[in-house]
Amino acid sequence: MMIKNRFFKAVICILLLICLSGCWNSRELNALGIVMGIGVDRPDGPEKVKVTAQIVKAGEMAAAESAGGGSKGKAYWNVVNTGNSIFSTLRDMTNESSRKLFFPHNRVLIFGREVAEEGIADHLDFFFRDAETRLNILFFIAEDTAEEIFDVKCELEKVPSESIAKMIDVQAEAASQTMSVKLSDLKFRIMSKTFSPVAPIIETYGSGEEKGVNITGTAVFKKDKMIGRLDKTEGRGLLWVLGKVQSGIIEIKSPENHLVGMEIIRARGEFSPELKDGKVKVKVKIFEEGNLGEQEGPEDLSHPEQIKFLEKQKAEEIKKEVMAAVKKAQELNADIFGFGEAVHKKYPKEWKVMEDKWDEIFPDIEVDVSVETYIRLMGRINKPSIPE
Amino acid sequence: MKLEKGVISNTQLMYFMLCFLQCMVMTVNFNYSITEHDTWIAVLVAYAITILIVLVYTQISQRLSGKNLVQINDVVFGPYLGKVISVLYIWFFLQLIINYSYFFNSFWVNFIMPETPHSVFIILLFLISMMAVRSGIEVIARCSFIFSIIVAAMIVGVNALKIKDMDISNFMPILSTSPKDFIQSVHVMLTIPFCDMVAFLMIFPYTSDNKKLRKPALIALTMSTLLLLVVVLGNIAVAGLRLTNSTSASFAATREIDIANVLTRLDVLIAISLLITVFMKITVFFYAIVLGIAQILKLRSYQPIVAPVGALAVAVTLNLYPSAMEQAYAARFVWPFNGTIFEFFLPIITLIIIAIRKLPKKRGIYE
Amino acid sequence: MIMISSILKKVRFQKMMKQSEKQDSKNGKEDEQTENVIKGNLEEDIGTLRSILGDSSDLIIRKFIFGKHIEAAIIYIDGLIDKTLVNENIMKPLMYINNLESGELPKSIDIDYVKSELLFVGSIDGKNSINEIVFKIVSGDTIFLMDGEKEALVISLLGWKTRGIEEPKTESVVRGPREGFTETMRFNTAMLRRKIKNPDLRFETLTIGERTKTDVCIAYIKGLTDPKLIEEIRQRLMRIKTDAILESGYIEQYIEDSPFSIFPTIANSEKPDKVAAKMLEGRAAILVDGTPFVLTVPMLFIESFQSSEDYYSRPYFSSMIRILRVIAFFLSILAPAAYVALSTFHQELIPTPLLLSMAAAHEGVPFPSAVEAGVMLVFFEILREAGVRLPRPIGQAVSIVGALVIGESAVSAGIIGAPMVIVVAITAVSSFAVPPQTDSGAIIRFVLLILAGFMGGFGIAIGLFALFIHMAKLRSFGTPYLLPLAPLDKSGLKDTLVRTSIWSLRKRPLGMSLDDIRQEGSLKPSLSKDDVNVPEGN
Repeated sequence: MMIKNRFFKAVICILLLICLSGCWNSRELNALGIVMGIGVDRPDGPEKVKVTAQIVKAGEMAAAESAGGGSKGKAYWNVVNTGNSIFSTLRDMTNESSRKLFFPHNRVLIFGREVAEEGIADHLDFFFRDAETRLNILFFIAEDTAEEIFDVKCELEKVPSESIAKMIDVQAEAASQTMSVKLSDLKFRIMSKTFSPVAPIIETYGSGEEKGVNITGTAVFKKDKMIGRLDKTEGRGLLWVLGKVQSGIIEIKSPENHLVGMEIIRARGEFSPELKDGKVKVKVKIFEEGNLGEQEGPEDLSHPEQIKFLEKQKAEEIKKEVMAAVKKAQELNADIFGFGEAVHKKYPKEWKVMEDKWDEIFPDIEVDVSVETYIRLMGRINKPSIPE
Repeated sequence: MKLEKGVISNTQLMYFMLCFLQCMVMTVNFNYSITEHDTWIAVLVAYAITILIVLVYTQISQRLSGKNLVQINDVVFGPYLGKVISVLYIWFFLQLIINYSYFFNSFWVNFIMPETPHSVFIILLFLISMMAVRSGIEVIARCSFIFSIIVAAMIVGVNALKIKDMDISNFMPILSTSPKDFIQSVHVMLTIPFCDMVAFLMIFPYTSDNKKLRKPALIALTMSTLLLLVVVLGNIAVAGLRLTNSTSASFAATREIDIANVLTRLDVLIAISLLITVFMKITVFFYAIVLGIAQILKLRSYQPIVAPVGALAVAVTLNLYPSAMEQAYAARFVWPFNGTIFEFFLPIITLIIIAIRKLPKKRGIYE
Repeated sequence: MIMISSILKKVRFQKMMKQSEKQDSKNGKEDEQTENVIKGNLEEDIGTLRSILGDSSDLIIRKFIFGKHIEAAIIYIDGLIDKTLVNENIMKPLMYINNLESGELPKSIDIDYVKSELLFVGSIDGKNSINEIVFKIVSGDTIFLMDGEKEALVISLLGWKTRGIEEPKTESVVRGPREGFTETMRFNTAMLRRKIKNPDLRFETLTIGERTKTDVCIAYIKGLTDPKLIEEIRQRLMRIKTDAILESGYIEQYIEDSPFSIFPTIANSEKPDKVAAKMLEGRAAILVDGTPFVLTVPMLFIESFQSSEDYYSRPYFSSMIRILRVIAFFLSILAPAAYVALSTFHQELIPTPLLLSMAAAHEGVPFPSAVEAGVMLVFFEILREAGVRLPRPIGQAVSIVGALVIGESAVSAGIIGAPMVIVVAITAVSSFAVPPQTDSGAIIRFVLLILAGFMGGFGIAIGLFALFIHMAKLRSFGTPYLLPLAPLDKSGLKDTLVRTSIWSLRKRPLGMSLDDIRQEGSLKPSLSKDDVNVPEGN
């Protein structure tokens, strides 16, 4: 009897507990507004931010798939709202959306240029703090406004955010001209006193139905304010130094002044600062190997001597790219390479003095670039198909 | 009259301690904000000190073999002072339970299910823990083997996936924190995750070989420290500076794992291993408390007081701290001093008295 | 308070025990007083037997005269004896004396003479208690009564219709012996004896069931099985005071360690090779007359994942199958709960493309996922039950209707999401991969589903914790249920998740056997000294 009583008591307790828990956190899939992208702009009115949230219509996506892609309806919905802070503005969106916004599947975060120039740090806290947001979302700066980026026609994907996210990844893998920046990288740079954040710049082209987007360069920040931009060459210069070049094409001139395209296959880059007489000197070492990908003219480039020449040319070109980036960074006085952090790690004692004066030191840092390049293969043909 | 009839083998004791200690992997968060990227050195220093402390614990238990903490206090400090100290120890274990369950609770509520009330997690956790305690030490020890393997596998697996994102330069410059911060970090680490092993003084007598406790204790300590090192090194290498303002560093670092967009969102593994290890911690302290109370009150069985103690712990846990920030503050600035008394001073004094009085005497007056 | 009440309870319990003991002894005395014996008067004895057995139409009483003048009768139950044998071996020799010259007749024909010189039967026994005789009659023995003799002969010429030895339907194998146990216990013991030709193989028979008088037999290998285990089984079997034992399942439920546990702590099998293997590991078997299912104790949880075929095929494949079975078990208990937890609590854990297609499938579904899963699982259990009980052709029709029509149209009508159908299908298929745990799995699955529906992943984790603690607490006849894992037994681990080579399994599983070592030294196959390899030049 005793055991039985106890058993029933336990069962009753557990049943009561289950009733107690009453599924606060439970949300059915069809009650989720799955957010794939968030944009932050400056509104025209007195409020501080205008937030665009791109919500996916899951049903529409599946319908498009089964109908062979001929669906007329958009697979996404952009909700725009204005307010004084990111979190409250996003939460206010429930006034116009039938589903509560759900952030863990967010892919991109785009800041409009105006907001970026005023400072982004205050707007990022929500993304660093909230339980639903993640640090592996991609960060962009829109040349104009973020809102219009979210409403472009994308040919290959169904949702613009998805398209943009994939675009930057593919670009980083195949062309390596701008850095793909995750929120975690951004957090790292913002938390440091000297490390300047960067972010890819995204722009729209065309108008109306034919509006599209492309990546045009890299935004440079000082602290949390955008102060300038790198073009694509300078962007790759930055990536060389950081060792983040994965692939890409380098255009150089052959001995007879024909255009030759070199494909980058492997690349490494590293730098180390040196402190001499209170002056900082940074040595950048770059290793690159690749293939001959394309050439103009009938010239036969298959001789080792010519290859040597081309390798030299390539090294020069890489050096030029790096120096362009360094020059731009020093002009803007923004330590986008993290030279300061490297000095901190190597010379912790000296750094304590230098940290506050870094703005004065950085523009005058001497950067010494040494490049090692190789050309390994020539592709399917070893001579051009044009007769000499 | 023996309260616990079960006997565990010394191998089981090893896994038991390992599972108990693995919890430290989850609870070193405060240290990142104190010693930043030097936390791993603090781990090593704390480990070295803990070896000595563990030797003190095992020595006490081996000298007075077959006696648990309450009985040892009776023998060493006399029946009256001994009782007082035993009660203080029980109070100490109760505080530990409350702190661990609060920590666990705020983690789940903060990261996984923000809208669920606190009471649900704590009540369920304690129900399960009560079930385990009632089943006796053998059952707890049996569970601990599989739990420790699961947790170790999760930790190693998750950290293996982090390798891609690691950057060795995050460790530089080595030893840049001030000595004061460093000592504070080591102290926090010693008192919170390492030396609450003192609870095992209640469990040592129920092993099959009371005279060979050193080996399992030290192996368990070493293995769990290795796991902790793996985690700390991994976290620092992945996140570097970013760790310093994370509420849970392992969770934050794991959240960033992204392998080909498929193996992502592994943070749930951290949540599960936290659940397992905190469960083990709570169960051990819980067991120590009920056994101790039963011993002091000279009960015939500890089982009737399991439920009241559980209810008490739940009630206090839910009301002790008004916020997680308060708990973090207490854990950083108040707890280490509280713990020092019970984890270092009292055991060392006990050992000294044992040595001076040449205990155990044959047919001692207090036996 | 608790202590006082428990003391009171103990006192009450002891009183009850004493009372029942008294009652037992009283009953015994009454039995002796009322017991009848054979009186020696044929007509009277037959009358007594007939009054006890009644006018059953299958009761045959054949009176006849032999040796010119001696009246005798044989009594048996039609259908339980072999008529030809009775005619040939009892009737024929007895009647034959009638044809002899009187000179050739023995001086006196008494029951001993019949027993020792006339009957051509091996198993023959004299009895004079009416109760015993009645019991023998209903058990299928033939009774020979002779006028003037105070003893009856019990002749065993059993011959009822039995099912032949067939391949067991529940445990079919690709490789391995095809024979299965039958309903007759004697055949079953013979089958075991044929597998283990050893004088140490012992069978101990008990009769259980006040009305059914079922034979229950403990089989074990002496010197291998712990005598304490045998004693424990004997004690538990003797404690059964019930009127009917019809199947070994009855015995199982009367003697198991934790009657409230959802896990079986006693294994059963229909295959002699499997039972023999378990006995050789130090376990004991319990055979029950009237059923082909033989119980083996103690049972470990890991046994659920072992099949006899694992040992007949080579280690790599059988290890893979073992792992698959474990995965299947976890899938079968966890899949619906995990799906519900993921899709209603932890959507952030699902990869984005998968989440989108799941969300699309759930668009317009009227029920919450937990309800959806519950309904589908209940429906699946109904379908399974219907399919099992019906004759095979109809059963197939039921499964087609259930699976295709209802599943397919429920999805296309938008009542149930397609992913849910997939999850339930996976669950259903995997639940059949571990037959011994199918029943417990079904219950665990529902409990976990409810927990997941209310508390998501935390609920599942808590449920699994409770389950695990419960399993760690379970014992089967003194052996911990989770044995090679918890407590850890290193040599036992060779035969758990993976099955290493037969020659490396040197030890028997821990805690059951007196003699731990199965084989001495390493028996790794190797070439003998003479090189048998043919030189390649030839």
